[in-house]
Amino acid sequence: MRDRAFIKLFLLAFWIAAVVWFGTNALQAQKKTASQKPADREHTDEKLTVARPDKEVSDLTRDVAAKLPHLGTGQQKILIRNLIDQHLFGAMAKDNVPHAPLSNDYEFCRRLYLDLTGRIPTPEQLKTFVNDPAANKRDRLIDELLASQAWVEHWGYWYGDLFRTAANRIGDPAMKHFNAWLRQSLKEDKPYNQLVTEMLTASAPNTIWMPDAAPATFLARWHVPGITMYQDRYEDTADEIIVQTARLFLGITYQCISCHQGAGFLEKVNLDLVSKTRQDFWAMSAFFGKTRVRVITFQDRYTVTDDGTGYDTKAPSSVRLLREGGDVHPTFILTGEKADLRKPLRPQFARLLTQNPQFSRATVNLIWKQFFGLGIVDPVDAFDMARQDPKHPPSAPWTLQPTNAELLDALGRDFAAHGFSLKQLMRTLARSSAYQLSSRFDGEWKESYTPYFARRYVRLLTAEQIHDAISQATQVFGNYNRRDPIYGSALPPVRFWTEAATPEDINNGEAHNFVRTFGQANREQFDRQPGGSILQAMMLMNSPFVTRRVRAEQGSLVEQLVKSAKTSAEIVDELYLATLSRSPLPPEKQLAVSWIEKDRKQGAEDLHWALLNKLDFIFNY
Amino acid sequence: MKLNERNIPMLTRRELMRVGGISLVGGFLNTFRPFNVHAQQKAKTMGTARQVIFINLDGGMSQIDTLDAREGPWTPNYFDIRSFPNGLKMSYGLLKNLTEVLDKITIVRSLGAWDSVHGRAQYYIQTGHPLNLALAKEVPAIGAVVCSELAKERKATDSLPAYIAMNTSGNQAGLINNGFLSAEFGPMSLSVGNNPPNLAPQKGMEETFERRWERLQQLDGALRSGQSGADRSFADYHEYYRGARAIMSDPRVPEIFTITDEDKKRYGASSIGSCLVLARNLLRADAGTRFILASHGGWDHHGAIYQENTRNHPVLVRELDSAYSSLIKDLDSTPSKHSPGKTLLDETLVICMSEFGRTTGAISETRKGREHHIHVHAGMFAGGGMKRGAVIGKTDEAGGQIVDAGWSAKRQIYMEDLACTIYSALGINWTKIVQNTPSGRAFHYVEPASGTKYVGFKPVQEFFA
Repeated sequence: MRDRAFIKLFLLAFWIAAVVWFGTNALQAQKKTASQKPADREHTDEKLTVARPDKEVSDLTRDVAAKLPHLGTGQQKILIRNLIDQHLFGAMAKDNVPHAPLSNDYEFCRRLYLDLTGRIPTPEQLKTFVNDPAANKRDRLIDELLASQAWVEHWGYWYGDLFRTAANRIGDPAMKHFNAWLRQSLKEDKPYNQLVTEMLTASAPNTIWMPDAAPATFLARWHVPGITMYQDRYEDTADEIIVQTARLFLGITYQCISCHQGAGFLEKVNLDLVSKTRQDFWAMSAFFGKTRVRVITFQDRYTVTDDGTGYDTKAPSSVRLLREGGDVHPTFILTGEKADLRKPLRPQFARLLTQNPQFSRATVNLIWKQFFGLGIVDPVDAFDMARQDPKHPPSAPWTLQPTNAELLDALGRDFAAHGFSLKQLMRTLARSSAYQLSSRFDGEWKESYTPYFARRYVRLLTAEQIHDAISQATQVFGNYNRRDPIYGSALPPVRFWTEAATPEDINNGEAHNFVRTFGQANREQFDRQPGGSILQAMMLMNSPFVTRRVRAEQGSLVEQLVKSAKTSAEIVDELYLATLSRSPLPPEKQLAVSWIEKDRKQGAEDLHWALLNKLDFIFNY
Repeated sequence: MKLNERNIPMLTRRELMRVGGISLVGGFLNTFRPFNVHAQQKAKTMGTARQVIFINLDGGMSQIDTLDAREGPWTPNYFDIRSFPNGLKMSYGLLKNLTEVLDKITIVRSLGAWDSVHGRAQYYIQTGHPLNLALAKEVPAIGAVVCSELAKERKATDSLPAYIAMNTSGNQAGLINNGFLSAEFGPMSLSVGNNPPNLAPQKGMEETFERRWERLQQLDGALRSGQSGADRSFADYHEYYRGARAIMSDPRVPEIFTITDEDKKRYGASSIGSCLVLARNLLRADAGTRFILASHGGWDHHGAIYQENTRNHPVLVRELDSAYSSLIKDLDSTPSKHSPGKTLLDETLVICMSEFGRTTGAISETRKGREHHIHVHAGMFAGGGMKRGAVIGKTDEAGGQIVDAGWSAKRQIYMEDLACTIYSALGINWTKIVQNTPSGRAFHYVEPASGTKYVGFKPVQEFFA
């Protein structure tokens, strides 16, 4: 008897020892596999370029700017006009970094029109600006463009891309109301924190098709279906909402920790998130734990209400590893603040989000990138919160993430102090001398100058901008048909792409074909794809979209000029102004005039075609 | 390996012990991550193919109404379901031409999908990876990987892009590009309607184009030829112009992009017909294209599936039928330039499949269609070393569950397995890992595990002759 008991005791001890041994092994194995290379699989350590947006932007600019004719430079002295200039030029002076001269009026006018309205200036607008003797004309132009309808359309469309409001996700009626609400909000310069709050707290008890439920479309768009299209996954939807909200409004990617903890995975990716866990993520999702996005018709009609009981970690998931643990208390990850469960959760979340300095910093950084071509933190959705504070820099080999942390903080505070006004933010950016620098750089450019924004960085025009610029430069507008998505009645035809709320509104296959080639955003899952391609070059040279518009017919600019009494030299000047927003250089003019002298119609057509295929047409510099 | 109620293989403790040699003890399950057991296999590639045509039936083809036919009260009269060798049942009424090439192709009835949502499933088709938005910017399409591997074989006379994609839907996943690989391996996206796109100068404008090109060079001359610096890590926009011009002035191009009336009659006057004519022309010309993705859209028949009007099932099947059969016949009657005695079909891997299948049995009363079905679907594999006249896999009475997977792994054939198969056929080692990605995360050509379950992916050897 005693022997049996002794044997049992021995076995128990052995079992415990085995458990402990295997357990610690497993934990160690987990730590090791993160850095271990599986020996038997073939490895290719090919020399691939590591993504460095700063290097890409610097290289592109250095090459392209050298090929662009800069007609004289703005000889004015660089004035320190606002906090941006204080920080940037201060840093340049401190570190002995030379900078580009100011842009001339032609450069500035074209650039400002593109950045604020997505369109190039007409020759009249250009000439008016260039010939204006007023000293404050640049400031006045900024204000004029900020108040224009084109600004609303450009940024309304841009935010549509950003929020991924795809019409085939949500249904036409909801898209119509959402875009109307969005554009109206932009038009009246609704404080950005208020706009975001409305989107995050709106409800749609009677479907998102109702006009006053418009802001709720943002939440409904992230609905995750269950096994069939008519099932809802409330927790998955809450997760998606948090992932997107954090990406868009905090610049932080929580996607990783929605599936696994940071430790053992993110040591080389994001210092802050290494210490974060799935539980932290669920605690954020729990703010939407009572929110119910329910499908009525798949990818068409949804309701958004708050009649749930809470974030259930035991619920099944369509898209992630199963969750675990019991109840989750909504906790804001950046501050650790817990929600008051007696009060509605979503407004608390919206307040915690928009009042956090990171909301301002991320928003400022995102808009900064649109103006300056490179974020102060780039990529703009990769903020690492452990590397933001210059007073508490991270330990080596990590570095401070913003290229100018003081500037980003100051701009963030300024944005908040001005009532989160997007227009005021853009005004501040555009007024700075730093924004108004030329892309031309005299002397040798070093890549190390890039974080100082010591010159203007060039980039390709976007797909929609190219479409609009070609239409306007040739004076041949598509006038695409449009129907009201709900009533089917005819709407004013579309001349400029961004007049339409979503790409689907435009009813023209050739236009879509053309625009798609230039990296249009797919509002489903992917943002704009930047970069060139052979097909783009082909489109610009050979697509009927272009070749038809340079013909002297149908009221095109070429037809108007050819039929007028203008001299060859005047025709050349007009075509340059209309297309490239500048005057021709003497050698260019001589060559072009000779073509028109040889054959007036053919020469003018050829010239217009050539101008549309020049680098300075397709680049925003 | 056991299958759970969703037919996903689940690793039992015994298997883990056999496979990992480590005993599972209770609560340590959470902290334990599977070792890379797949590494024990050495990759032995088949190298039987030079190029790939991937026909993407976008939307989810109903397997029981096409390649794995089932008859029931719902079956329309025109279906005429007949039996064919190897236990195959197909609708003769819809797939008449296909029945003539059955001896050249392999029909697979045990494909499986992970995702039931178009976007994610289409992403799988193009990349062989699950959609992970954290990595999506980096992940290249299978075609891009193939083209980067085959880049060393590119000839000086090759003017056309190595990867061409036709009619890819802009919605759902969109067209997946080269990810972190060089831009030259990204797909050129063509929109092919009933008429081919214009890659040569427009008819009658050849002289105009030449003159304009000359004038553009003169105007831009000093600017375009400038050197910028030794270390250029991006593609100069002028390179695109040079590449475009190379294509536009290549004398083979107008011919490649011409669809004759004879072609139209045989392939059908449809967009898929045009796509496959172009695919054939591209491969015959051997002008640099090695991976062609041709999408045939509209298969998502949730409603009115059997209605014979614009874009419903019977119309689509007939379009595919004429186009695919003609392609197979033409490829097989073109002698190979690289292997004497072989045909173009022998060295071209032709895959035709959807991202998932459709539900079986009676159709719904209200919408009269079929819904998405991930457990099993069917596809066609031909050329590039594939067996001729084989049928792999068997489904149950309803055609919705697998009864015999038809290969050694004894489970559905997933897109990852097909990616391994494609790479193997092309002589590419599918177990490759790339360490130096921009994000620092290793990129596996084919991931060793899928989602949350451990599944060892490998090429379907049973496909190869």
